[in-house]
Amino acid sequence: MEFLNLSIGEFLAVAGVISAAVLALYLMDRSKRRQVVATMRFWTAGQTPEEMKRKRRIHQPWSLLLQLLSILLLLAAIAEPFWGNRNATRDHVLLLDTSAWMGARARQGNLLDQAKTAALAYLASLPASDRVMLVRADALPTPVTQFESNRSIVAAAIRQSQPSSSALNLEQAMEFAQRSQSLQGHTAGEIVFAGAGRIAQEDAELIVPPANLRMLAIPSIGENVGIRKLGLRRAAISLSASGTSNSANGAAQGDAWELFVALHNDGTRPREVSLELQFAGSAIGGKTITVPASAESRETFLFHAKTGGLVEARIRSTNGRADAFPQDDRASIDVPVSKHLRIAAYTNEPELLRALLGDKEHLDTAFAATSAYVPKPDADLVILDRFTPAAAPQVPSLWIQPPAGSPFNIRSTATKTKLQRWHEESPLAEGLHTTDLQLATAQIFSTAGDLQVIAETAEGPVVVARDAPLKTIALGFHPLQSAMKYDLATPLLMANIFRWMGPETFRRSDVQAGTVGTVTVPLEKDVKQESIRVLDANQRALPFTLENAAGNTQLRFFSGAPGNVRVRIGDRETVYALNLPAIGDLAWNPPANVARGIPRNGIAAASSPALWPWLALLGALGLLADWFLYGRKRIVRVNARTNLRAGEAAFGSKTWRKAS
Amino acid sequence: MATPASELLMDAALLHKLERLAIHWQKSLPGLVGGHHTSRFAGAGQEFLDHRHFHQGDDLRAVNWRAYMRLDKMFLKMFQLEPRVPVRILVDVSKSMTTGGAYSKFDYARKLAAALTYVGLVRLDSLTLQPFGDKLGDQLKISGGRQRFQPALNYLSSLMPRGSTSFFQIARDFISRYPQRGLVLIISDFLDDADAEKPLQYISDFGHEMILVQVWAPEDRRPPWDGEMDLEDAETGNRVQLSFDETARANYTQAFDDYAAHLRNVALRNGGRYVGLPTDVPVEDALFGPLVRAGAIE
Repeated sequence: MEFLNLSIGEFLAVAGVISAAVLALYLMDRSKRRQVVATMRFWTAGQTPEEMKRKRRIHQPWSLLLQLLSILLLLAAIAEPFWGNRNATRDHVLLLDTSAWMGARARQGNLLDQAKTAALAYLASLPASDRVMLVRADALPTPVTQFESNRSIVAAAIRQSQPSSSALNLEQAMEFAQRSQSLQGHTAGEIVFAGAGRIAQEDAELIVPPANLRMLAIPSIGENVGIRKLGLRRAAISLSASGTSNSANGAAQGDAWELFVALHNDGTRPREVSLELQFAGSAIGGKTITVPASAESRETFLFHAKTGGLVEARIRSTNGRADAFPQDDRASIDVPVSKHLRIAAYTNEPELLRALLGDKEHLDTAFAATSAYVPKPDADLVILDRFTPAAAPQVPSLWIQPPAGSPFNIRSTATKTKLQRWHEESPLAEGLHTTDLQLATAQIFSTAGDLQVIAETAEGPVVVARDAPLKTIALGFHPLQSAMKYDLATPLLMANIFRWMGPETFRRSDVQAGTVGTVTVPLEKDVKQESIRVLDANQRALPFTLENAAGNTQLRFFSGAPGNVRVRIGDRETVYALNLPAIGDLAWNPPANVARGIPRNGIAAASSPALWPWLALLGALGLLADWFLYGRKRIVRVNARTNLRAGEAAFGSKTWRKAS
Repeated sequence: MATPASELLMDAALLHKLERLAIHWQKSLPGLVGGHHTSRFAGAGQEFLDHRHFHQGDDLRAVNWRAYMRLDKMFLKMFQLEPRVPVRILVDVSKSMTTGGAYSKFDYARKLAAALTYVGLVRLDSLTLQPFGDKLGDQLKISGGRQRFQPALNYLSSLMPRGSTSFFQIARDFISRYPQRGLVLIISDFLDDADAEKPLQYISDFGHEMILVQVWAPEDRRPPWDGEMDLEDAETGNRVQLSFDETARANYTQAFDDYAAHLRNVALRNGGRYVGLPTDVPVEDALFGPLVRAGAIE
């Protein structure tokens, strides 16, 4: 307690001086009043009580005590005493819900506008000494300001907040707020959450509200149907003539796609919506779907696309009424463009190679004579069939039985030799186990330098490869002139060669539209971890985790911003188009003991409530009581009319008339 | 404490209103012809009053000769007299009249006396302004109309408060100084330590008609003070210390009212009138209010 920065002794001295002055004034007031009167006859007639006539120095001592006590109380009130340390400040964390759902329509503006208004009102109700830290809460809690006592900075940050695309992770936000308060040296204030609090159903049970939580709940209209998932993958079924079909009745086709759509109804009543699908601006399907309340409906469509383009799904309410959150009524994903490996084959026997290269799905082969060789053809791969050009090719190349003068050092030429080993650690030998295969003639390469051995005979390597600076492979035998011509290893070897040369061409792609936040990808059992790569839109690696739950391996990664994320597992790639807003399943209902709203009188200061109003009230009541008990009787108002009437009433008002 | 005459002056509007009034008395008082009130005394009047038998020495001019011719007896015609009754205004100038704070009884009494003097002068009454304290002071006799008002005003202004009040001495002096019966208008606070009843009774017993105008300050009737009091008598200088509270105040006021009622009874019992005037009531209101209602003026 502090009294005008005075020590207790100084304060008592001041109080003593004032009390002495009050006592002196009291004695002067209560001293005998000398008065000159016209006569003594009525004064002596006044029946004054005997005890009142006794000479006393202090009359009405209770009045004096009451006055002194009241003066002391008023003096103490002026000093504005309080308990605790006046400089104690509290640190409040203001969690502003900026999840995607806060962009939903409200009666005026959107929900975030209402949350901003509530947050600003709370800010205004705080004592000036308290500090506030603004945290935008969505999938990740993002501190926008530090613990700031400058209200204008926090208010500006509140006004600049916009809804994000991710769902609210309230548990994480509260944990962050508690941790932030605990790291500060000041007293922890309140954790205030302003928003709709729409969270995932599985998260609701995990939330343990802190004791200092205050909810500024923003009620929202829950009637909403939206697209939760939109997936695209190559169909393993054929299409009907119309281009779309739900029936699986054939083999896989390269230009057939399977489109998967999941709709979710957040409301409490079933709703009927019309789902429309478009590809490159043309309608490819549609359906009227009744989505049960608080449930999800899934639909699968098939369509045919030879080129890349945008697939767009859009839902419309059949009753014409827009729902609360129109942002999730539309989703789109890109259909990937099919690629071909362009091959320039320089050979004098094109018919021999045509069995391997011609009319293949992903190959686009151009045959040319060795005389037409150019070092840099318009191709992804150059095949030099028993031919060594004067200038080395400037694109990846496949050398078949290269003559002398080639970049490969031929150690010897073996005849009637057998393939004994495939180096399966190389992707070029993946799946090749054929041995004891007799080669009529084979060139044995020297393995000096950075050459990798892919296959070898007893005499030495017959298939070698170089990864850099340009991918180069040399076959010491002709696959179609040896015994391999009839062996399954030949097309498998060529497929490995082409996949190694142009992995983009042979990669299997799926596309899925999803919501921002944590994405879970189910994996096959025998997936090697080193073959997994998760890349963002800028081809930068994103961190991911592998979880093995109930025998199923899952890959999890997090993306806080909308965009495409590519998950490559071997030759398979899934593109996640994370452009759908993530919405929680339900609005969190905090326990009853959680403080709600803003107190009418604002948030109390860090110290206990100020004592001065009560002291002032008590002092005023004391003075009022003194006046009522002792002072009021001393005031005698004399009124002329009262006197006149009193005189007339006492003596009668009869008019005396003349007797006659 | 001489007060300039200008302070006692009344504005022309009030004087004009006062001209409608007249000092009123009830008794039939003798006096010289020339008054404005009829009397039961016969005399040289204009209005016929009665007949009586003729006695030797009566004025033959008043014999009713027609009755004598018919009845052969001499009857004398008597006429109603309208005498000029002397009006004596006694103004208390004792020191007790100086109390009352802002409402000085002394000034109030002089203003009231001046107004009544003007009323009497307008009606051609014979007036005597007689100050008194413990004895009668020098009087001023005035008559002859409103043009004589200024000397009366000057006289009232020159009065000074002094001494105490002794109604016994005053009654004695008055009876000896004014043997002719008339109207006695006493303006005083009547706050004599001795009882004023008997002296007033003596004056009345000598045939004078009394109008008692008791002037009091508000604090005289209901003292506003509270607590310990050191009181000093304005006339005697005696001091009394006492404690005064609400109960004592009520007792005081009751005693004052009892005393005023006593004075009123004295006046009414002797055919007079009593008017009590607090000094916070303007003189004009007192003239046209309580004084008119009591019949002192009409």
